[in-house]
Amino acid sequence: MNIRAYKPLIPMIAVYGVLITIALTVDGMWQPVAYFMFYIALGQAFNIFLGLTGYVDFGYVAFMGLGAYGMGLAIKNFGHLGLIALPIGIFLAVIMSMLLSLAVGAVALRLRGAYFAIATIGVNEGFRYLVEGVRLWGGTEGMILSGFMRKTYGREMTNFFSTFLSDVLVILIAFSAAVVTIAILNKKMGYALLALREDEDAAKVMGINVTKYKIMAFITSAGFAGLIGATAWTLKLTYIFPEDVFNISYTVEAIVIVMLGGAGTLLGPMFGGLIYGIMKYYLSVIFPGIQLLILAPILIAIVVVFPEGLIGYIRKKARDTRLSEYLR
Amino acid sequence: MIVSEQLVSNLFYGALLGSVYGVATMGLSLIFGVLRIVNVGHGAFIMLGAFTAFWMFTLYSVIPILSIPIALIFGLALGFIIFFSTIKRLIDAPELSTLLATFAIGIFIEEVAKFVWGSDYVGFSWDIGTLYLGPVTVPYTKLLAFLCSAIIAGLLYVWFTKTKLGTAIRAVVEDREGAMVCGINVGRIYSVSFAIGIGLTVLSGVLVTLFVPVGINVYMGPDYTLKAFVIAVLGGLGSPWGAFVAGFLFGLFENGSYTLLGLIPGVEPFALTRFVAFVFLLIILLIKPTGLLGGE
Amino acid sequence: MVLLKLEKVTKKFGGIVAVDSVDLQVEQGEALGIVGPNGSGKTTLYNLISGVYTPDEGRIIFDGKDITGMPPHARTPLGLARTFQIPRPFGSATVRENVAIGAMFGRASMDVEEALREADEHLKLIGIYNLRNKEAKLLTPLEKRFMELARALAMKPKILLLDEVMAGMHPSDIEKIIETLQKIRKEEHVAVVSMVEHLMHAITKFAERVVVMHQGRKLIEGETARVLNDPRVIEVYLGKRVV
Repeated sequence: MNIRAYKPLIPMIAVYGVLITIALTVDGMWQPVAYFMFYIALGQAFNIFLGLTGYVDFGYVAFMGLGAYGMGLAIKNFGHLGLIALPIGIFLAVIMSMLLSLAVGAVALRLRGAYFAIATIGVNEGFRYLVEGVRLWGGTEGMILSGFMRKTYGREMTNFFSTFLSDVLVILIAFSAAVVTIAILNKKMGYALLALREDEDAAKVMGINVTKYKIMAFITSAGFAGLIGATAWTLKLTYIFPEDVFNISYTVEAIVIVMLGGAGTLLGPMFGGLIYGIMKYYLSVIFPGIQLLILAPILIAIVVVFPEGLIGYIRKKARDTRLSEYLR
Repeated sequence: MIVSEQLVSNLFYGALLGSVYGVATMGLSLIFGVLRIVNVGHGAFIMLGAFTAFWMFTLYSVIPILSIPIALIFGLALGFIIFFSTIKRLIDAPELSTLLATFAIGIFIEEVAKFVWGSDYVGFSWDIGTLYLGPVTVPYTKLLAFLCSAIIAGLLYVWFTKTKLGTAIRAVVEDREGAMVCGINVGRIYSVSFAIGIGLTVLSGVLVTLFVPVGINVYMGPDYTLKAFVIAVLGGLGSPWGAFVAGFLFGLFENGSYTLLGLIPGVEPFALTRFVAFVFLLIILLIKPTGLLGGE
Repeated sequence: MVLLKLEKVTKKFGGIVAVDSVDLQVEQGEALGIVGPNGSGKTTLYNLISGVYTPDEGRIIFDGKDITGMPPHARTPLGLARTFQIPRPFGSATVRENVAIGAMFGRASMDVEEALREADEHLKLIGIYNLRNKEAKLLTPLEKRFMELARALAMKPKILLLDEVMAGMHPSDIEKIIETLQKIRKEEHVAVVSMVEHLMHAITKFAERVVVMHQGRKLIEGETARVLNDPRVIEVYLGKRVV
């Protein structure tokens, strides 16, 4: 392994260090930082697919939703066994989201561009209406776990889950997704994805099994989405409603974060998530209810005049300098 | 038997609604056909049309039928503005960019609308009597909506086949480079097609209000976007005529399947109908992505 | 030894027969020229060999294996490499990364570090080492051709399919490229197939054998000088003498 290729993790660790220090030392900052970290994790996870392959999955939130249900089912069915329900929930979340992504990927990834995007919207909406239509996992009423969790684990433990443990897990997920991203970038897979993102047909002729690499990126990304759903939603909020966990607006937020920071870069999702999180948090404090009104033009502006995103832009400027070793 | 009567009545209703779906999808297909751009914010324009009808009716007592030309002009103007401010710069950009841009435009329109009109459900009632025909009872307004849809589709067809500009648009759909070589100003075709596509879509929002007179809301769009996707794919993305026929079929399917799924105990027929529609969408995309009714 | 063999390969698009029952053989280490005017089916032929299309009829045998139905990514590692008539670089990757991708996924199948070193070697060989950190999309069309050639060579193919690679190049560059190609033919027994529309001069200098395509069929094949003076070939090229 080439250690030097992992240098871009250094600025990332520094930012995480600052954020965690602020969260732990400044009064009342733990929850805001956790809020930012959710968006960083979301961007980092989605970037593995959207950023690295260039395919738009408008149904990405379905994997988060499924992960949320995975954790919910584990708590409901194995809660009586004690804390072991949590690792079971994590496991279920990953397995369920990865299995769905494998099924979706195997069929939908044969489609390109617009057709793929439309198909994925179909998957997400279809899945949501299936849950509601056949009243699966509580149907429209969803799963409300707070009462059960308080009874099983006690009030204090449940509070600990939702105000501390879930946040710590989200931070870990975000960082793991970043480590996986840079590992991919440094491996053959990263080059294969780069090639297929640029010109899929030429990539095939160059000997790249594009389907294999697309599905690998898709499954990895979906697995992280499942983890986020399980921790940032079920464990933190202690309820699951299909309307919320299949809400397409999370997909949009993930896209905005990835594009803002720079699609396909390592550090982009972190800065994108941080900027987005901070903006959304303070905008909704200052101008409640009109965050989207402000975010939509920003997204249009990024797409039109700044398509390579923040890190993409800085990387371009820093090419051939020593700084470029730390940027990816 | 009651169910069969209900089915006939619902299918009839579905056919009427389907024609409106058809018109509501033609704009999406036209824009995709000419510019190869999927307008992910499609539904927001339908919402604007619905509000046009609502405000014209409540403020000036203008009946929805007369709001149609107003909505069309409003949509055309909006289409040109959006084209020249954003879309023009993205013609040759990767698909990712256009998908995101149209998505963001849709959200922006919704949020501006919410800022101005609020997020409450509003509605109006325009009653000109009801037709009783055996098991079928249908308000005349819905028949009128059907009639308007058919006329609009017909006029569009004539315009496409008989006028110079319409023919030029068809040429660009067929072969962009070829059209360019033939001396067609492709840039102009892009802007005109985009504007017509948006104009048609806003216009269709007026027709939609005749079916959901109390379901007007700034967030009503995405639902129609999703339906339009299913319909557009069914009709062969890029073919406005395919879209019209497919809209008709979709209306029949939606209402028929709602009635039949309602017979199954313990399910939500509304949600399940949606589910079935999306399963169809996926199947069509997989076996024939150019659409069941489309050619290449 | 026969490296590549096409048996009665046919490809139709709608009603148009682009390639009509073509037989073709390429020997190991051979220098073959494929000549034909625009629309004669040359590019379709390449697309059939590299797997972009599957033939409607006929078989394609490469290195003793039937590759007729194989996807392109499975063929390439067997030792196929090609360039495109209109170069197709991976635009936002650097020139060096482009060439390294060839070394990683072609027959060479190298790991990342090794491929990047290999890329440098090939960039020097082709003479574009100075461009290595440039984004590929910023290259001039001619530089892109050089890059595609380096990328194809880095794949370490057994057969190299060149599509108009020398069009528009300076005679001294052509000289240099032909020299490089002759070298890999002699030293590594790579078969080189060069497809051209015009530029007959370069072909006569390079190819031992020439196949002339016309309207999807093989019009004639044989030793270079003889073929290019064949009256039928002259007729195809509007009655002009081509050499």
